[in-house]
Amino acid sequence: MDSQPIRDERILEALEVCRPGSDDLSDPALADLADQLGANPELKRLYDWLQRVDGKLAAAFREVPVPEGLAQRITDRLGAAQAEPAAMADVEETAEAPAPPPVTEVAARPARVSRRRLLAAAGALSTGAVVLVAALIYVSTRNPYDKETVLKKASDFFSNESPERGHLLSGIDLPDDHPTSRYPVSRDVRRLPGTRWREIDGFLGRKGVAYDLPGPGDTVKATLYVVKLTVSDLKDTQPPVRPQRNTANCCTAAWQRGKLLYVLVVRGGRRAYEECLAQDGTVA
Amino acid sequence: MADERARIDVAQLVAEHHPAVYRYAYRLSGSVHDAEDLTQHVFLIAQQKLGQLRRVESAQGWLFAILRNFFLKARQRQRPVPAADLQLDVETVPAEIPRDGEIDRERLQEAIDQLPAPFRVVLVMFYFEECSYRQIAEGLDLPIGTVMSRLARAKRHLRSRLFELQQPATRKRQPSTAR
Repeated sequence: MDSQPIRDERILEALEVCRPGSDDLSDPALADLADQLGANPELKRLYDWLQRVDGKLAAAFREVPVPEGLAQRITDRLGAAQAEPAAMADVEETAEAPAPPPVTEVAARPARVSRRRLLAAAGALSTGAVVLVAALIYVSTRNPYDKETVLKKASDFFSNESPERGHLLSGIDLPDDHPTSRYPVSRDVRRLPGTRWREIDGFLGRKGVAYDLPGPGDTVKATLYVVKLTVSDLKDTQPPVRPQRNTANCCTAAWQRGKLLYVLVVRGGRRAYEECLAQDGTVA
Repeated sequence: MADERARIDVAQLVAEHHPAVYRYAYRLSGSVHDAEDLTQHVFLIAQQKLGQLRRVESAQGWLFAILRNFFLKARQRQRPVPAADLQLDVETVPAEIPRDGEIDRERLQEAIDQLPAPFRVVLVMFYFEECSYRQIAEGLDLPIGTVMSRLARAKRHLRSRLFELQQPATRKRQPSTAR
């Protein structure tokens, strides 16, 4: 190629948008480029080279090996989402709110008394609804768990479950409605590469997310369970330095951050437990 | 139309399109794990919005559009990197036409990963989907000039990373106003 650079940025940009093997040059917006290609052999050489390189790059872009079993994992995830319609509804935007009734409909009502009655009835209904909601909230938030029960039930749950392999914990920032955003991994637990997450149901009667921390080989050395549950004697606690419950096979500790309850169950003893905590975390 | 919609089910979409969606997701995210996560999300959204798919022939484009939107939405939540802050070698043109060579797969992905998400999407639409600049502009709802500029800058960056050994002599041009 001649040592003279091509200085016309407009022509160079036009050159770049021509797809290899296409008839893009027949686009009227690229007519200038087509004319110059006919008149400038250097530009034509650059164009031909770009076409060759772009052809190779296009092929290279598609050369990505697909992981084995991906289709099955997608199908499993779809099945799980269908079984939990609420989670599916969270995936994308919610439906629009219903429109308010037309004003003319209200204006057409003739009697003033009936409007008062209507307002009184609406007020009574609202009060009733508030009482009902308060009662429901009280019933739903009241829970029979104290710290000891949580620790025992968690280690039982850990010992008895035979979970399917979860999904690798993503490094990318996911939307608020993603399970790992709703039940985030605790910053007090060491971030290990290869940590997997899975949705759980029935942990202390709640749905949530379990994070499986990888051990040697393909094993799971610990699981961090995260559910929305307030346990009064764990309120505003930090992850304890030492496990709060030890059994022959595992040790367990629990702490509360806001509305989220974290329970860490580790295979092995105290040392194994300590290894799972983040060194720079705020540990009590 | 209604009959055809009824015939489309998400299992069929997964079976036919999951390799292409995964490859696309990998090129956008640059990570095996993130690509799988993105792919699973695409089909979750597809399952929810299957009624929007009018024709089975356009399923792949529809899935790609879901993927692009989801990817860009997720990236918008992170602090955007101004293109000006990136050391894109966009002001160079080859003094000599480099020899054709095989494309180094690792270097290709590294070069893609260095680009901000909006540039990356344009590039993947061009090379992977073989979209024209007009189709890219329409798909991303961007002015044609912006697409041309982004595409040119992204492609030059890619070549500068891939062919730098074969292209020792590059000529600095006068800086142009970048969109």
